[in-house]
Amino acid sequence: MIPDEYELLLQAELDGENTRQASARLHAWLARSPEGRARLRELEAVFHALARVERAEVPADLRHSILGAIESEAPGTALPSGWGEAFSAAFARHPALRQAYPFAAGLVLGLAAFALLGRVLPGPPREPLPVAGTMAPIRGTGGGSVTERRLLRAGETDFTVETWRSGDAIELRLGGGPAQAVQVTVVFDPQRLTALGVQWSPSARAHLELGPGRLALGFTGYAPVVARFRAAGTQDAQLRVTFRTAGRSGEVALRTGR
Amino acid sequence: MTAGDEEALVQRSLDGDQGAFGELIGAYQHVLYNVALRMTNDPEDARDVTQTTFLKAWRRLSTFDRRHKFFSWIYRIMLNETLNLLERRRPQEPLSEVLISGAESPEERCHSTQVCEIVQSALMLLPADQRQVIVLRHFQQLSYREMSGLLRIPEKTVKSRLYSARQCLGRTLRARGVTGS
Repeated sequence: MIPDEYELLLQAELDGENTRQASARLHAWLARSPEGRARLRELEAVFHALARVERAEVPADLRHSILGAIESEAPGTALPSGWGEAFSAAFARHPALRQAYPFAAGLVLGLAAFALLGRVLPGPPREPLPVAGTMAPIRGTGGGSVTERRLLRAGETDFTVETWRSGDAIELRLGGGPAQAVQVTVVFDPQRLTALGVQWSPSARAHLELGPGRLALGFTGYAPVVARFRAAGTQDAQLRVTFRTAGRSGEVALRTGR
Repeated sequence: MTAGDEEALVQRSLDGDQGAFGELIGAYQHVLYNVALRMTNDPEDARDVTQTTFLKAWRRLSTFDRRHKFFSWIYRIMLNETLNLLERRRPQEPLSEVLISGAESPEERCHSTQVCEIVQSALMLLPADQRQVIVLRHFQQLSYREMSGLLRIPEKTVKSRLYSARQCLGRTLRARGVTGS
């Protein structure tokens, strides 16, 4: 049993907080205490392990995102409401998107056109999409093949997640899923992939946020959910997909090309 | 960044200069994001905490007491945001991957990455107040006195939290085969 006094001195020694006298007292005790020396080695192991944790890189767009949010609070910068709120929030977080407003407007118009065809939320699709854990083939995108498929289990519920590719058309398909809320974040290289839109089951309630290289989906209800991308080239571009549901979380990385 | 630079940027920010506030973001986002990441073990949460912290700082800048360091002030906002998030968050369990195609085997994973993940998961087993002192000491190299000032707790409490946290970390790491070598 190591006296508390020496436990604290050992710790302070490794933290570089001991005075010269305290350090001398500790070393005198260590010289005659094998138990103390063993304890020192244990503590050193903890310090070494912690030292091996690398510093993380800050997301490249974080600063712009914060400034965009600040700017969006300024008077006269109110953005449209309604189901476009998801996109508005994305614009607020990513000023670059606002600068590329013609593109954004085109995207919104494009999605509106899809909506008129009954293929994109929020309007109810004309034909319900199959659920029960299998991915629905999307009309008009015949051919192609699945690039990679994973199955994830959260409690009693299974998710499938797969990438599919036909030429430059790429889809990320999420299948199965629970009735409770699911948060899915997809991170991708915007130089290699362009997000085109998202389609999901009529039984699901969902929201969407788009940003450069980032797509966040939240939905309650059953998948399938399909996020569509266009590839800039034939090279593989990874999609990193993070799931959170029912107090569980997990991340998978999927290839989009061979 | 010197205290004078920081003070000038704060003053310009108070005058409504968003560019000056952008410089403060650039100076401190790395530290704040990394502490938030080690506390939450979730890049998305760390991003949200960092963003919310700067937004709150911008909104409340007029209440900032100029006799203190801006960094200490914003650091406290971030720590409070992180603790609030952790209180709201339900315990996280990893999704189990039952069928993997094309995934790396455990042997293929980089050993250092494994150690990093083990240490991070061991950190997440600590109570938030203990994790906080470990993160501040080991990842931000703050002294006992600095932690005491920042957390507004006596130095004696800092030491006892560090002691308890390291005891627990040591047990977990040994059980998971991390020897520190």
